[in-house]
Amino acid sequence: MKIAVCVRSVIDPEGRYRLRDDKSVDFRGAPSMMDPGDAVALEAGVALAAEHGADLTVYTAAGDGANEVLRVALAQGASSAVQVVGELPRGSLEAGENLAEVVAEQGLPDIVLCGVASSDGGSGGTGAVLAARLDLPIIQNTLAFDGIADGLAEVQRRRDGGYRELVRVQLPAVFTIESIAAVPRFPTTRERLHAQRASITTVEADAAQDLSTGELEVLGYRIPPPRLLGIPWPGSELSARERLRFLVQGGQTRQASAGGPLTGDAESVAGAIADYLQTNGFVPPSTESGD
Amino acid sequence: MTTASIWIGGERRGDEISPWTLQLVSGAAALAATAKTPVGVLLGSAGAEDAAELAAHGADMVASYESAGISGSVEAAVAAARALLESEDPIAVLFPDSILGRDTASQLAASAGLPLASACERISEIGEEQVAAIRSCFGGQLSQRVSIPSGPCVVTVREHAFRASRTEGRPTPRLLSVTAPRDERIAVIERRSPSPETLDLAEAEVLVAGGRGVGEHGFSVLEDVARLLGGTTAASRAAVDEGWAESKLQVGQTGRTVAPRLYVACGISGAVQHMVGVRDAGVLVAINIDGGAPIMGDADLAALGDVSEVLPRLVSKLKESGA
Repeated sequence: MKIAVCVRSVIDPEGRYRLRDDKSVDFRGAPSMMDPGDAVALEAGVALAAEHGADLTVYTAAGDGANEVLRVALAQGASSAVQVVGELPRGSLEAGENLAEVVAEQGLPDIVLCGVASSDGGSGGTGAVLAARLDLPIIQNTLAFDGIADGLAEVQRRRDGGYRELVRVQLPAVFTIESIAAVPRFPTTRERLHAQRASITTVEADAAQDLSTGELEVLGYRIPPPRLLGIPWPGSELSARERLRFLVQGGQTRQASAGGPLTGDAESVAGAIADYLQTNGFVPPSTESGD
Repeated sequence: MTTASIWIGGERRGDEISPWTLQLVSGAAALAATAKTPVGVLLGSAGAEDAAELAAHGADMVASYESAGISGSVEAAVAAARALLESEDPIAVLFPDSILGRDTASQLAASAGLPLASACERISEIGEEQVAAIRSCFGGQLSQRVSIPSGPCVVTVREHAFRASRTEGRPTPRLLSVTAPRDERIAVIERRSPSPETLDLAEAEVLVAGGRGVGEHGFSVLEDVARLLGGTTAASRAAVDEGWAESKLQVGQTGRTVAPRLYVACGISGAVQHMVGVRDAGVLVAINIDGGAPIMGDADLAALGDVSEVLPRLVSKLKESGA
């Protein structure tokens, strides 16, 4: 079995950055790292490879820090690494096109993994583009692989509102991995040193150049305004405890219930709460519709 | 081929059209009003009632597709959206930035080679040249102003980016039916309801939290209530310190920050350190034996009573009412 994991280098979200006057961002103070979501996908891939005795190749599209990210991936357990070289992709669409070209060239794997969306503001399109160009089915938001046998995989995927779906899919297939699906390992110094000496294959790709449609264009950045209603300050009439509460909550206070608390015996209080929940639409119907 | 139009990928919450969908319909209709661009909604198993509701929010067209089997399945939505893209030639397709919306949007954009922008917090223009939007990036630390080349493009929009507005007496929308073959390579075997065992605090829409007032044996009743409301349990630091709940369930300054639609606080006094973690909760219900507890002043519904007496009765009331 062959597994491919597509990873990306992103700017450390905790790093320092500076907003320039022309509304662009200066990221020179921020180090790059493997995207946290991709790191989880890689960990899931390493676990699958160990379980099924598979070969795991890690891919990354052209960009700053591509080589370093591949070395980290090799230290984390990838058996080989491929770096796509060529024109810098402008977004997930172009990155996906180039990756698909190279992954197909290297021999189609049984399982292609990547993160759900990159942490620097990606739209989560890479996995979908890979699936579309390689003509493979895609399962997004994968939480766990329950079993792989006879060219089929059974996986759990996450849906809205806390629902889970158990899905059977024909392999080869693309999976985007949820960030809670695994915890990336921390490679040992020995593994890191070994990865530094490993060779990385570089492959030219130009599929993105044939794209007729454009990517979105970023016109400028700004720091989002704080979500406060006016500028709050605690008044002198408040006690020390109330002032602390005011500051910690950023001046936001909740509207207390009108007319004071519900009182009465437990039966009537429970009834009133049930009515309230029912009226406000919090009581789901007894059977899940459409199931 | 028809004139330029804007389409919304509609979703349901339970049997109803989701409020998020209605917000998008109203928002798109308002932006499209000057250019008189028609707005359409693609919705699984849409009936006459759904069409009327969507029309009241600004829709001019409603396209229904067969979502038989499992409701809200992404494969059915993707197949329908692709078929619609071919027949209607929209300038933009908008989806809620939910899991279903993001998945459908990315697959639609990828298969048709269209530009994609997710997590848009504001949209100021939907034109034939571009969609102008502000989207969140770098984990919400920055926002970016973007221009997405339209004709068509795919955009997902955050909740509350627009306000839903209802107007009676609007004309009946044009009804379409979309049929499209689904990807046979994928089969959904089972859909599991949210359960306290699998739900993460951050994704739960309903949290039933317990504090010191719940007592050592009270957490099992909390789980029953959570199960009936389709949510999971959480705990205050006091309950975690007592060993009644796992530390991963702790909400507050030293625990998790949560934003459920409903937070039921049982036997929790509402210390500042706890309330910091729940300040983004939608509706707060508090059950406490102490009428002077700070949480009683913060709650949308405060109930005075012993948790160990009220909760078992609440369980039977909820069961009676069909949950």
